[in-house]
Amino acid sequence: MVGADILDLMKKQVASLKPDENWGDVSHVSVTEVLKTSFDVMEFVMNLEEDLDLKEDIDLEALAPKFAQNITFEELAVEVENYLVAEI
Amino acid sequence: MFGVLEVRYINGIYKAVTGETWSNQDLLSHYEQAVDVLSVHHDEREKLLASLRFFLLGNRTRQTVPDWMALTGFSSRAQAFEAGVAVALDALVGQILNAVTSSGVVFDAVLTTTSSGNLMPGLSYRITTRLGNHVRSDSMLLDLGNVGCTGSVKALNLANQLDLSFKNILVVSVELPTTLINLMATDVDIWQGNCTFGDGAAALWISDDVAQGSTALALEQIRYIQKAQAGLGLIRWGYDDYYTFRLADEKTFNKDVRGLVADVLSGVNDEWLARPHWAIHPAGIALLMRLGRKLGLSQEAMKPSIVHYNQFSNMSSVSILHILSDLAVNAPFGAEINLLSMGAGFNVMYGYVRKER
Repeated sequence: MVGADILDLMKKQVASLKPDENWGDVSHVSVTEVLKTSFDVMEFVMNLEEDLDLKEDIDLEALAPKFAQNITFEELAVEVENYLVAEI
Repeated sequence: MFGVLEVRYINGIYKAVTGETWSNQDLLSHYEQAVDVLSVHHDEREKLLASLRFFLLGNRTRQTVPDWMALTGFSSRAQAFEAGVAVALDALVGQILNAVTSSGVVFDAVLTTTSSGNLMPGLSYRITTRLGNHVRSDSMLLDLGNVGCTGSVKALNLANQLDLSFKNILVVSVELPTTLINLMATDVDIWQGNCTFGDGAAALWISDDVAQGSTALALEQIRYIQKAQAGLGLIRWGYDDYYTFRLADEKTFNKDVRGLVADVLSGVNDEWLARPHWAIHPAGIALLMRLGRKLGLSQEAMKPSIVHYNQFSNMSSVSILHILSDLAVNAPFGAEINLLSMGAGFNVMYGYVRKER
């Protein structure tokens, strides 16, 4: 799966996680603007893992510190893509 | 001493919240300053800072001992622990005496636990001096040390195993993990400990009398499974100028723990898993949420543990007693409240109580 597909999944997850907040296209929105708590981050991470249908021994927690950095969802999608390419 | 039992009850749960309240944001600014002056390579510093910002994301608070930033050696940390224990025991004893004085209850056993410090004489003696004639000279006083986050449930389990000559038993748990905060560390797992834990204390009055005290939670089942062969090094002390919180591998910790807990619980029946009331040890938000999802628990079932974690962080063995107390207030009569705790060793304790009154 390439970064653009991962970004689409992220957009879906944001809409699901924050149904009362209309973020529009979050591609260039900072991750920390949307995911404000560790609860948000873990929900987002676990839902994304399910959507990506990852193998049991691969999870995205290694990327967790990225979620607390001032990067956009588009940049995060690239990070996830690179991580998965290295892991799988 | 050990024998076949009738049902015992938790007749009172007493909580102490002592020290200072610190938010994630307040801690983070101090931690960032500390990391800024560490003698580490730039990349290492950035990695530490990124981890810190993740560990302290969002609004969460915890209690700390006063002046924790001034604790820099064995002596100051051990003395802060001893002083913090005194404050916590005083807070608990006031509540315990209020509950038992009028009925003249005498405790046949005082079982205490802490893993975040060492005292001699231990907690059991120290609380006994405060309880006056509510503890006999031949009552059993026993300190469980070095048992980690499952210590309080282990003490509860031990109380439940004592024979029926032990009518009234006091279980006490005091944890002051903020005496371990280490601002000189360069390893991520020590900083994870700095960010994860908070202080607290709690006590349980246990008896064989359903009518005593303010509540009656029947001890229906407590199971204890140790996984020492697989998990001895998962969570352990390291040593610097004092004890330090160490993990075998912080990158795989959550996955390793989740796997061991899931393995232990693989044989439990669906009825237990389906119950709506849960007190789960909040080891950390990632582990808590992943464990909940692995077990198929609803968000409502997870909520009491998450709410507790957001306010108090991980109080080690104390947390599950605070969560149980909150649940016991709101659960309807007859409700079963599941207990699930896990910690160093590695071991898992689980079971349930039933709210009779």
